[in-house]
Amino acid sequence: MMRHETERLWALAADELDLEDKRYVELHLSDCPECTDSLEAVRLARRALSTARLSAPSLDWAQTDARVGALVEKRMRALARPRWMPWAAAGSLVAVAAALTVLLWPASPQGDSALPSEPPLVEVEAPKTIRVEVARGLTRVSAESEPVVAGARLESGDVLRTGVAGRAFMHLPDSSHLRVSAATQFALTRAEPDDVALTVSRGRIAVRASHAARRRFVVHAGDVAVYVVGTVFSVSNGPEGVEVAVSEGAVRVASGEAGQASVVAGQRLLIDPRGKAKLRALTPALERELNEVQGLAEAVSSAEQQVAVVAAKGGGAGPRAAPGALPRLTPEESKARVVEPEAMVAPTPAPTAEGQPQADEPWDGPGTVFPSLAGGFTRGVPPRVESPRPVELAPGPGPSEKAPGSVSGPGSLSVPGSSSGPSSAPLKSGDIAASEESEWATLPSPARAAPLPPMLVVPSLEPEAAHAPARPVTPRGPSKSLEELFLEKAEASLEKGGCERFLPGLEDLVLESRDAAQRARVLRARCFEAELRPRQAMSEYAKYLEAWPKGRYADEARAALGQ
Amino acid sequence: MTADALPMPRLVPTPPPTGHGEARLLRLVERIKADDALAFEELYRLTRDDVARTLFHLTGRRNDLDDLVQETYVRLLRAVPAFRGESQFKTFLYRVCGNVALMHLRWWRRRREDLSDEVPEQLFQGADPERAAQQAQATRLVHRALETLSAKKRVVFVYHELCGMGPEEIAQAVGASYNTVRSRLHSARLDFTRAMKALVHDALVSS
Repeated sequence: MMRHETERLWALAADELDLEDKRYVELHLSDCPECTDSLEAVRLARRALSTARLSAPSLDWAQTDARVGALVEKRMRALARPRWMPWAAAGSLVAVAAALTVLLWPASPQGDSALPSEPPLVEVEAPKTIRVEVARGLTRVSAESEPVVAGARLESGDVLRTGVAGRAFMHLPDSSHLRVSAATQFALTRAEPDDVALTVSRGRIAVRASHAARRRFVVHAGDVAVYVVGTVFSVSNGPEGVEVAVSEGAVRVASGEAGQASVVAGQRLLIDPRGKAKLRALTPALERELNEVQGLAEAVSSAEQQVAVVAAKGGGAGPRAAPGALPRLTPEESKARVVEPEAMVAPTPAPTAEGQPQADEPWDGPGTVFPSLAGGFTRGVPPRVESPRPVELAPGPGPSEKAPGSVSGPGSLSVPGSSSGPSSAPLKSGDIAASEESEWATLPSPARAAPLPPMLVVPSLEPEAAHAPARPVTPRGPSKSLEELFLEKAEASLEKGGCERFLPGLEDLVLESRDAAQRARVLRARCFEAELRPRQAMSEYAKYLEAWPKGRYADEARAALGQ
Repeated sequence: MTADALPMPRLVPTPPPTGHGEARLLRLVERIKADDALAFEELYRLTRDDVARTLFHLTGRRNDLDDLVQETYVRLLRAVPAFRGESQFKTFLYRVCGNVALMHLRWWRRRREDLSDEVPEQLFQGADPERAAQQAQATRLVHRALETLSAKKRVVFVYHELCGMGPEEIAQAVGASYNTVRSRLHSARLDFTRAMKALVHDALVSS
């Protein structure tokens, strides 16, 4: 009796048999009508399967996405919380036992009385939350987006978003500082004193990472991971890719497509969506932004240290901060120290053509209050914003004359209808800093005025800029240009010790002036030196030598660089 | 442009999951291990269609398919830290799907309810209504035939015939030996063919 080949029919239909078996089964089929019928059934079943394989269930994805997202968020929050460890329990038992031992140990009256009475040392644990210093247009992304206000505390796992006119500045538990640009969304994936992970979905964050000992500080953006040791850098994530810019220190960038690379101060690495990496120089706008976060972070640290000193002097019995952790201000203290953002009227920055948040306008939030070298507080990092209003040349015979209602600086440009500070954020009456506008150093650069209407051009500057040969460094007399006046003021300010407000203007001169660029670059370097920011000073000197290896300040630059 | 006009932060619809490489999934897994919630969301967006389709074929259920998808990703989130890269991540993902489906099938069969009521007539939508109707009918038939298989055989059969996995990969996904998988697959094919033949016969008789 012939054996049916039912078991191998599916394999035959699926073309899984080798040649010999295939011929054997086909030979059998020619003589077995029953198996031929079975093969037809197999082919029918396979046809049904191939049709069903293409089908997809129609799910309500919006609902499913929301449910899964909520669960994931909950799970991540649970993971982010500190976990109860068995060794912690053991440690607690040991601590309790030690305390009991101390209490029950027979006291030595002589020894104890000989000791000076010190206040009990109370360790203040470093805060494990993220403190928000400035929150303009900042919301926490959750099922219901909730606004975040200054002084709020955030936790690991929070996803935050700034609006197109929003920005934020916050302190991380590891004493690092974070500046969030407009139209940015990022996640505080993990923010512990010894482990920080941020994820930038879109937009830009700038970080001044502390040098605290920790396991890891990593910023994710798409497929790119940026590993930090202690540095000032920014990470942006946009349609054109991920950009990592560094103004101080170095970071290690790991990308699945592009491999690994180190980005050092003065560089920016752009990794496009195809994974191609391009290393370029830091743009002035980025550098300015990074300088801002650096300045803000230093200002906050300085202010907090002052508070700590006052607290230490005032209250001996007060709590003592744990080593390595800056004492934190309460939200009330923070608010008292801070200019309310609402007190300033800032124009909504127009979105860029690419729809990607660029290095946005300089900081004008509470962080604008920072200690100057001369003591006290100075307002703001001088912004470099093209004024949206028509700007006209202040009346008057010469640039050195102050026009009524204009800034007292050398740039006698006035903005009608405003107090004519360089900021595009005019202050309301009674604002605290209205009297400090003379602190702002504006640069009436002809090059900057070039794209503006002709009325903006300072007539006397054009011929000078066009025909000026190499001139003495500090020419005197009535023929001095605004650039020269600005440089003089910057130099004078440097001698007095407070030159930071001239840094952006000097940078503009470096970029846009043919005559004053060298001197402006060196003045920037000297200014950084005076402000005890040696890395940036070195960077400036290096840039100078790169641009002018035989320049008039080359010797000074080489000496500074130790060459 | 207002802030509301910006793209929603997460879990937005995604293009079909085909085309994402194993390397990309593994990178996401590494980030998930570092508690990166957004990486998990990206992984979800990349794999959700595959997962839903697989669960649909494994269970034949549609009404509570979203529950199964959710359960799968909850389990996946818990299981990812244990993923050591010894197999492909896709295999790992199918294993999680298979476990969810097995649990569901066992629970469902204990209830002894009729599956046919659970499959709506208008399952699939497409540009061609005739083709969509054919797909719906074929899927209904296949799922009814799959009902005749035991849970373990069904998982192996669906993985091989509908998900395109090889026996070695299935062995890793279901935690069984290669020979066991081949045996289950062979047996499932016979059962499935027999069931399909009977269903078609019944359909012809009734018509």
